Amino acid sequence: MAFIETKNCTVRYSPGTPFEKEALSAVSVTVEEGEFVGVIGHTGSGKSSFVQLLNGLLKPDDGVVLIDGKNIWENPKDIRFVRFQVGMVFQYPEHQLFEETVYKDIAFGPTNMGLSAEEVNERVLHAAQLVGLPQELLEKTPFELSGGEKRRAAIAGVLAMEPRVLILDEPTAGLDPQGREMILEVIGAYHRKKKATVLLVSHSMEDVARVADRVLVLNHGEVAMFEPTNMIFSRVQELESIGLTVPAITKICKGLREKGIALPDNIYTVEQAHAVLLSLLKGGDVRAV
Amino acid sequence: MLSDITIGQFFPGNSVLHRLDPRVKLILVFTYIVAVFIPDNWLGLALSVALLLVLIGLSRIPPKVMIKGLKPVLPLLAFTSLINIFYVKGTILAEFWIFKISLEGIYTALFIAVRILCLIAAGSLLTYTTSPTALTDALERIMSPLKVLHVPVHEIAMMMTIALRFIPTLIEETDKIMSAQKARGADMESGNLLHRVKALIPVLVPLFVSSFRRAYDLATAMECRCYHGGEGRTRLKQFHMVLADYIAVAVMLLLVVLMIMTNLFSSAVL
Amino acid sequence: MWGYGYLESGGKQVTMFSVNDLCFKYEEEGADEKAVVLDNISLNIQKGSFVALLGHNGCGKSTLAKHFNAMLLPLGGTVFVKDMDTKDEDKVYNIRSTVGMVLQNPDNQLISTIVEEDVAFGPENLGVPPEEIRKRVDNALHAVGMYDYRLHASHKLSGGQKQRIAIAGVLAMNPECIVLDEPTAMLDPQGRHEVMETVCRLHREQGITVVLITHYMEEAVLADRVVVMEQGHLVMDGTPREVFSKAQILKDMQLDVPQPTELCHLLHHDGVALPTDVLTVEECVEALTLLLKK
Repeated sequence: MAFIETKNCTVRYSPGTPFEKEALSAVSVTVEEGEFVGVIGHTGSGKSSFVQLLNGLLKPDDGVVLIDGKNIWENPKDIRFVRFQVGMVFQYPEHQLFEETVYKDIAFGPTNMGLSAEEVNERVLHAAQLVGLPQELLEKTPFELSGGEKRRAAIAGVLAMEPRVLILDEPTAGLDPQGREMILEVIGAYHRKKKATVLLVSHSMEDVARVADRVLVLNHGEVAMFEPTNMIFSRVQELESIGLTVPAITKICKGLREKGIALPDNIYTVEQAHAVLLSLLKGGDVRAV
Repeated sequence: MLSDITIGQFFPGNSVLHRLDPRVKLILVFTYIVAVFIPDNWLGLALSVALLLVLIGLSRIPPKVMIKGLKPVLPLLAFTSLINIFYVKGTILAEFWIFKISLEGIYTALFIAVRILCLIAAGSLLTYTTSPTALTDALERIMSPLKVLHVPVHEIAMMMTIALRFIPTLIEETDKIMSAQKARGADMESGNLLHRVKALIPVLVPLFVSSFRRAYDLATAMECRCYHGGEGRTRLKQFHMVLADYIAVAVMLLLVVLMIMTNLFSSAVL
Repeated sequence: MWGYGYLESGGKQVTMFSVNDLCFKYEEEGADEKAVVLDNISLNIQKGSFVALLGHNGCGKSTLAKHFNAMLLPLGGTVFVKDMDTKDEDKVYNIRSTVGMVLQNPDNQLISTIVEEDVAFGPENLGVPPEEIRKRVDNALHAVGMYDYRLHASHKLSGGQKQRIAIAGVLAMNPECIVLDEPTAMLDPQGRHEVMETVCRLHREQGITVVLITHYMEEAVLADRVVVMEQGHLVMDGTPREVFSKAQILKDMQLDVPQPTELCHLLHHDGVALPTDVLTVEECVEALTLLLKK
């Protein structure tokens, strides 16, 4: 069932002035419940506007946004409740930590939801566990944590609201490879355990290729592509023509195909390439060491 | 959105006014603001308005922009005008309950309103045609004699430069933090005053923390680029008075003289 | 002008940095022995080289970088920039104009609202005469391809453009070396490309020594020397080919390996006769084609 639906959504910045600009032009997108969607596009493609539309931080100038079949702007006063349902992790979320302790900071969202103290407590501990924050860190001030821990604490603050839709805007930006891995695992775990719908906005094609079921490509405020991940990466030329870089592994396969080697055109992870090439090499008459 | 604030904005251009020496501009605007208070008669006031209109024309700043810039002072203007209309005694034009409106009151109100508009417009014209850095630069140089009195002139100017540079960045950041906290259900639009002040904490704390982080980064960057205070520092931009600057000074002096003369020979309103 | 090429004094190699037994820890209250950030590091960097410094956050690479321009001073051992000891207080501005530094956050290192005034900040501090500053600013802006933006407001530029302005600001001090501390970490792919292209060009055309701290392996591959740090130690040092051919060690440290290298490693591990020092997409395609077309 369609869980998220935007119908002809248009967002304009500075409407009525000479600087008027359409951030999104009549975008219609449907996301199924429990899907993991990667959202890509270069800076200014409208991807941030698109995700902010889904939790009501931006209001469409035209069109409607439906979550679970309900128009989120039906009653503008209830927009806060939409935000509990559609959790959003911003870029550099650790920059929004403000409480005296990590515990209190994670509890901010659930408390705003008006949950009982026990329920809040349960959720905080659960969220901390999900992101892999040891219990003893919860009583520290957020500012004592390391960079990676802060990021995880901030993400826990959103997970603690247990949103049915989780949106993340560049969650791995500025982290080292180890930190990046950790965050992607946390997101994957939440997706699986809670059967949550996840939208991951990212510049990193490698990250998107690894985790997403479907990829939404935005360009100049319009939907350029929205297809299963393996289909997207078979369209290397189109992706490159709108200024997106494809994973190196996809380029290698493309290079090999151009040399006349029969390879499927939907390889986008090292593991896939490894498996395909290995069977090709072992099956064929190839010298092995 | 917060980013719509435009007061004190700079409109890059290449008009005569843009090219004037910022020191000269700063001093002349200051002189003009004082000069607007010299005339006590319509002729003198008309002269200062005329000069201002000519300057706006020369600056090529769209009149729309000028008018938009004056909007924020309208409430203040309305308030002072009302006070003047009712407060100044003279020939009574209309009367109801305890209020009496006099002809003199209306004149005074008009007169003062025009003065206020003139000085605000002159100030905006200065910021519209002078880059903030040129302005702080000019201020530093005009005030440099004060160094003898141990006034930290360079430090003040550097602080202003940095403040100007970071205001847009911090406004943008405030927007971001507010969005993020709203996404966690923060409610900033309803409730009583106390509630609203409390609702600001999740915005202000991160903003302070990030300002400190930025300050630390910036200090590092400045040190890396050999910053060590104002001593021995040279400047990219050298200020040179050219013909246009001397003409500007002459015009302003002429205005002041004319205004004093109108005071002597014209009938006073005030 | 900057960039004398890197062969001074009759073609002899000149040392840009010589680090000897460097030890350092931050003096914080309650800091224990674990707080040692740099433990007995010795390293020489030749003038004109392009060195990528890799390692986890907190491995000490930024701390090491700050020793290169006397922002931090060694607690033990010495750091020399050419023949200048960083502990020599009289040389500090000399050192900092020789070794320029670009930091991670593009928003936090621009001082002035106007691009050209920001670029002028360094030479102004050095007391360079105004006409000379003008020349240096124009040259530096041309060198990073931002001359047309010289009168723009710096905060309105894109991240990649801001970083190029930061590089220009350093160039205007006529440095012989630029140290870049994760200059692309906060940029989008477009900005990352712009910055790396600029850095490579400066290295190639002006012979500027580059020390680049990064997490992106595609960037490290561009260097001619890769140094890997872990917990305050140097653990690997060699050409990109040498370092990345030890993919397993890097993976064990949870560092990335370029995808082409990783693929060849996996296949090699399965007994396929592939070289393990493959770095780029082209090399990988070539090696695989050779095998598959047989």
